[in-house]
Amino acid sequence: MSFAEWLDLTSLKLLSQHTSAIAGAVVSFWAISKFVRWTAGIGTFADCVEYGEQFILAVLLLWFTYQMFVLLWKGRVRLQNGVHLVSFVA
Amino acid sequence: MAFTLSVSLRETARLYLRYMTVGLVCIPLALLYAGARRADWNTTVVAGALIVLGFVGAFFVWRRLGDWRVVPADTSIEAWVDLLRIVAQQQTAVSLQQRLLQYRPRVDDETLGTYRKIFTRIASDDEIRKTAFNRILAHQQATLEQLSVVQGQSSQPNRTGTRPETQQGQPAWALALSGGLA
Repeated sequence: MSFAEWLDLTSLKLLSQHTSAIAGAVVSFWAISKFVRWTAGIGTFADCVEYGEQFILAVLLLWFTYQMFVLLWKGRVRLQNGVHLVSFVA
Repeated sequence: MAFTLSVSLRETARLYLRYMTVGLVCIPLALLYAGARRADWNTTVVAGALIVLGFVGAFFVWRRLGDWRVVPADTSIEAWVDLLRIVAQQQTAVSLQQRLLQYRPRVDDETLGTYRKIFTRIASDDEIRKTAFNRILAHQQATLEQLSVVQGQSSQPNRTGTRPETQQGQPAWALALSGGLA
């Protein structure tokens, strides 16, 4: 039995792509906000950047969760249509 | 394998840009959230409303940016033959690359795929295809005739007992092509 018979490689590929992309985006926003806070010092602007960073990261992670649900839903519909997993590998 | 990896990396990069765009769209909402939090408003309600707004904006941006997957281009020989037939039919001074660049500022798989769709629609017309093929054949015939005339002129005219037609005759495939046109 090969891996392709019990692993949906297409879903795994999509999952890895989304995960890589969201990890890159989160790290980018975190690094930018960290740099801005470091340059701004202590004050109102730094607080606003910190709160804004929290909000943006929350929205990004929620949007990523939504995308994962969409991915799962499409894979479920795909499997319910009777298409075997092996056909997705090619 | 390398092509598959390249496509996968390109798709991941597109996804990254989309997630970054979603984050950038949320910056005004983030500023509102920061202001509300500093003003000690009801953070839960404000954050919930702003997250819903961010979701709506993200949804529109995600749809506006289109499909992030790379559409495989049809690089079959039939597609390129159709493309070249149309280009030869029009016989304009615009090169093939310029015609490709005319549609989009860059040539990638998506552009080629779109270009192929357009030309498939055009080339599926039998009349256009027939006209293009006849023009290609006529052009080839004219070129061959011109070539044979030039070769006939360059041969030695003072030699006796030889005829230029037999000395510099057309090849068999050219005669067959001329016969097919007639």
